[in-house]
Amino acid sequence: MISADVRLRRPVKILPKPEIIEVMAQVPDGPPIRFRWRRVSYRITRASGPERIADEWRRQEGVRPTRDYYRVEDENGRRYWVYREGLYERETQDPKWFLHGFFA
Amino acid sequence: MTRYVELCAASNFSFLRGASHPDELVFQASALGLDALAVTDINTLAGVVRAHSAAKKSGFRFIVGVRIRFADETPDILFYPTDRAAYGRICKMLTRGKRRARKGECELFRNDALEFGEGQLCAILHEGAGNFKIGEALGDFAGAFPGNVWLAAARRFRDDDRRQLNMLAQIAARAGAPMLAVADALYHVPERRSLQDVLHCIRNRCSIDDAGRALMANAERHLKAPQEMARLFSDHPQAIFETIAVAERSLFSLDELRYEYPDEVSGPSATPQEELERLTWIGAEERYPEGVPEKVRKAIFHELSLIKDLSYAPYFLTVGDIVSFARSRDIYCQGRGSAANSAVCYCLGVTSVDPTKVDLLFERFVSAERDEPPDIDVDFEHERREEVIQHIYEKYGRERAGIAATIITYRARSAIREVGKALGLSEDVTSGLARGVWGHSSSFPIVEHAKESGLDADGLRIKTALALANDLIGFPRHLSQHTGGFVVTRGALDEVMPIGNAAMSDRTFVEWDKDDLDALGIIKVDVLGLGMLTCIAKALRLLREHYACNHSIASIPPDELSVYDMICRADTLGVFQIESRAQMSMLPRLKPRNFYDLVIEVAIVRPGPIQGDMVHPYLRRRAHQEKVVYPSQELEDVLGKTLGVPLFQEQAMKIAIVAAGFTPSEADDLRRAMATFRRTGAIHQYRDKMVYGMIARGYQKEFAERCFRQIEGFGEYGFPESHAASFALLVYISCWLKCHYPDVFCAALINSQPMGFYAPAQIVRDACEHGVPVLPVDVNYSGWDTTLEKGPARGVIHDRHAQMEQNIYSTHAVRLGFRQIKGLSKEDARRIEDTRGEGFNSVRDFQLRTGLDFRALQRLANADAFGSIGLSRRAALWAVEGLGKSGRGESADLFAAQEDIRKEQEVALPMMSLGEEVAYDYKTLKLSLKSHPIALLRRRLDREKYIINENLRVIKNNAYVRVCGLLLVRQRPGTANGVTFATLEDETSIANIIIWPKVFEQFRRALLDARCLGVEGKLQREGGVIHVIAVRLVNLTPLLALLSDYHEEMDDGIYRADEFKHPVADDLRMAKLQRQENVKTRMKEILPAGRNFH
Repeated sequence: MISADVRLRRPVKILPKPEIIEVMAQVPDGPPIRFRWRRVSYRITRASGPERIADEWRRQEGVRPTRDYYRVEDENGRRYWVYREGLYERETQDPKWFLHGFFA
Repeated sequence: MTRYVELCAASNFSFLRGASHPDELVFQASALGLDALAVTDINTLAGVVRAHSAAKKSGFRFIVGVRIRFADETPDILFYPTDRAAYGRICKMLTRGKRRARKGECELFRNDALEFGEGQLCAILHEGAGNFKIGEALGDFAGAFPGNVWLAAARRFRDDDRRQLNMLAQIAARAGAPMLAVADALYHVPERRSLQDVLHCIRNRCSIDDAGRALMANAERHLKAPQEMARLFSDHPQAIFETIAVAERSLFSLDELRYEYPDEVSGPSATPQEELERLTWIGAEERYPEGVPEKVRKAIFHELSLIKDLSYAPYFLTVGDIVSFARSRDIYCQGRGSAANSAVCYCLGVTSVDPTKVDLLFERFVSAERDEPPDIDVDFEHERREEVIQHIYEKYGRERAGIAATIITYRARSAIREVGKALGLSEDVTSGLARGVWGHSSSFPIVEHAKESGLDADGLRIKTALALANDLIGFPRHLSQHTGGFVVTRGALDEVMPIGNAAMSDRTFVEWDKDDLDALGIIKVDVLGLGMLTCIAKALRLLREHYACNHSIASIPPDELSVYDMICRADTLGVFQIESRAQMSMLPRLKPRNFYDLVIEVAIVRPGPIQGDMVHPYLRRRAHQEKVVYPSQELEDVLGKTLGVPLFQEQAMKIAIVAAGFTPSEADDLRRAMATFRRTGAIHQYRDKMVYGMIARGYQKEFAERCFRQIEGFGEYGFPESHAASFALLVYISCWLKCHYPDVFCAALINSQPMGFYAPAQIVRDACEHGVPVLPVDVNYSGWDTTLEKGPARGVIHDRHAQMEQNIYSTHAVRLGFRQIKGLSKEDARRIEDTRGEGFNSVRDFQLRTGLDFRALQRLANADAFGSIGLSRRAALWAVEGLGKSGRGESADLFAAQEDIRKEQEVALPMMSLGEEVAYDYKTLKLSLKSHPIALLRRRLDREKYIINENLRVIKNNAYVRVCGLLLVRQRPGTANGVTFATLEDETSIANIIIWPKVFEQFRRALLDARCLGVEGKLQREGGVIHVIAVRLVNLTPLLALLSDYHEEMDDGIYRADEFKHPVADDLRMAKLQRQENVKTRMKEILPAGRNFH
């Protein structure tokens, strides 16, 4: 399932705007165990990550929080690209989660 | 409690990779609660000493290590030596790699690592290599050094981290080498990520917008706390424990390198100590033929016993040997710095200050408590230093002697340039920002300047660039060889520190700089070049040749009043030390009358005393305007000879000792704490300790605080008394020469250029004012060097110097040499001298006999050097051009051609105007004997109400004046609160200008661009010293164009130099400005730029 060239592993479909999800996960940087998106609950069976992507500091003033991206698979075999926004404790006490895309 | 040791962290000595200073890494590691830290820079140990010292300071454990990046396909390997021998092998390995490669590079192969791997703990890094390669390398090393090999693994925060770690664990298990957790840090805190990105761009010469994926996606390459590392490796806890195991076995410490002094210096004696004692007493007999004074005898005994206790004898002998070599070759030399505190050094001939004349504080030089080898710096004639260096190589061999490194760091200007480029700012923006930085400044008040240059300082890019550049300042860029710091070891040098190639072929230097060597207590001798020693040596030779006057430095008559008279008039242009304008303005106020006054003079015009506000109290007390009071008896002992005002470093330290209860080594620590480049919080502890210590001893708080401020100033800039005394000696010698033999002094000084504050133009002018005739460069009379000629009678002595007329013994004229001609080679000059015979009678004759090429002839003609043949500059040029056309044949066959040329010469050439002549003189010789450029513009300047500088003497205080002149010197001492000093020269005299920061900012462009400057300001007279406080500056450079061709239409607006910044759209106006720019550029070519001093 995971190819060697992980850096190019990007979803086939990206949401126009990441959508907020409710997630259960271990702090500080555990993968999601389950998440809720548009009022539907998904249970994660497999996950890889985090792939940590920090802000491109040179593009704008101020710093935006770092994102930890996970590729997760639910019990039905559907795969999602989700991320946690903000490093726990270093950047925020209460990181938010977002769904950003879907893998084939 | 989790324990963890970070074994892989790059400092900024991994040039353009690491983004933190070694000490930052150490302090952060300590703060995070790591057990220890290894700084592992790529192919270098250049940063380890700094890290080691920082660790010692904070009671933290530092592990020496290095990361080898191979030239073959071997993955990076970290090495940690287990003992001294293994450390030696690392140095040898690095030396081999560096000697193979170009300067700054290192070329090592797997076989080298296998050869030198004994006793090392090796950790192979997985980064950047395929798993197969790692397995293979791991197998090789684990086979060769069983039990000493690890596989280092780092978390990268990529999607497949876990899988990768599991894979590495398997590879490690298969090779029987445990996995080792590392952070592979590139910076100490995540906030440095942006700087690291910029470093990456600088290294790859790309802009950050093009770097794309080459930049790291996150800020994770920082040092991490033990708990975090444990969590990141929670699937492989053993990898964390292994870091402790490696640390426990990497036992080598840099402290083991101490006292590796050379031991062949014992000579005929059994031990170095006995030899030192023998030589010291022999020297003492020579220094004091009438018997060694009791005070000196006691000092020698005291010093010898201290030297014995600390086993420093080999060091003294090494320096003594170098000095006696120089003496045997008649090379002038003299020890400087705190070494002059030592009677032993005086007896060995290393220093020249008689201990009976000044108070010695041997502990400033060597101290048992300080536990650090003494520092003996010796100045040699700068032109003959190379001979001394060759002697050192010969005596100790290249395996044991090497030159120390100088670490070239980013300064404000280079930092902003590089960062700007990396951030994709355009060339004109970065150079605009860089231009506003004054000199080699290491800080920048640049935001205002950015605005002044019309840049939007609030723009994100520019703001980011300025912030990052600020971080980059102080980062090492590369290593270079130190000018004269030699390190000599007992064993092979390449087992103590790595040695690399210098840019000069056949030159090598070690990786550590002066401070590093000091910190480790490794012996180092500074073989410095001092221009003034060259000048004095040359002057004494001229005295011998032309006046049959056989003087040495030691035999010059001391304490002559006529010499001090001259000094008091500040007639000191060109002499040692007291020639700067700050010194010159102090002289009439301080009025030195004896040698010790000179010692004070040298020490008082220093940022330390000036900043500490000690100058005025001293002057007032000296002039009996203020009563000399001492707050206590103990301070009277310390400060008695300087009238209660601390002027020397030793005194400042002694105050801390006697008045605040510091131990001598604490006082020295205090001095050092002040001097460190990036100030740490430690200062405040000392402040409290000092102030409260003094209050407890009954001093007033206000007085205590003033004392602390004084020491603060001293730390960095104060002179030790001993050093001031060594310098004062050379001051007196050079003044004696200048006073009695201005011709000799002028010639020697010009022949020792470049040195000192003044250019040949001013030196020549000063000689003329002292009645010395100065003759032009001429093919029939000149040599390469400036020479003395019997000839014209003494000229008129200027009014200012009239009173010294009978003290001037000189009878010769100074003949300028070919060295004055820009671009003429020494070989060409020698050919002229060799072939001159009875003299040349034509340009053709000259060309045939010397065989010089066309360009050299042009240079000579341009420099007006054919005067004795009867050819003016233009006529000579004409003749040379004629030769050029008729081929450059040298055979006599061309005799016919010569006839033709002679005919051609009869063309009537228009005379050059005086202005043109002067402009050409400046262009080719950087001076003119015909006239002063300003004199020729005087009519014009009169109309603008510019007065001659000489008249400043008769104008009343606080009057508004306009003065102008060639800008000789701009100086902005770092400690003068941003005040800039400028010196202007017109045809009569010089004018000293003070420019306050506000005026500086307003007229920055004019000041920095001008060759000729006009100043409007207020005259200020204080104690016989005259300054003009500038309110307006005008760049008069375009006016100089009038010298060679007069453009009527440029009359208007020429003074409005500040208009250049805001050109108006008006076309006509634009054209005019354009023309002025052209003029400015052309005049810049002709006239020398003012010298900048800081």
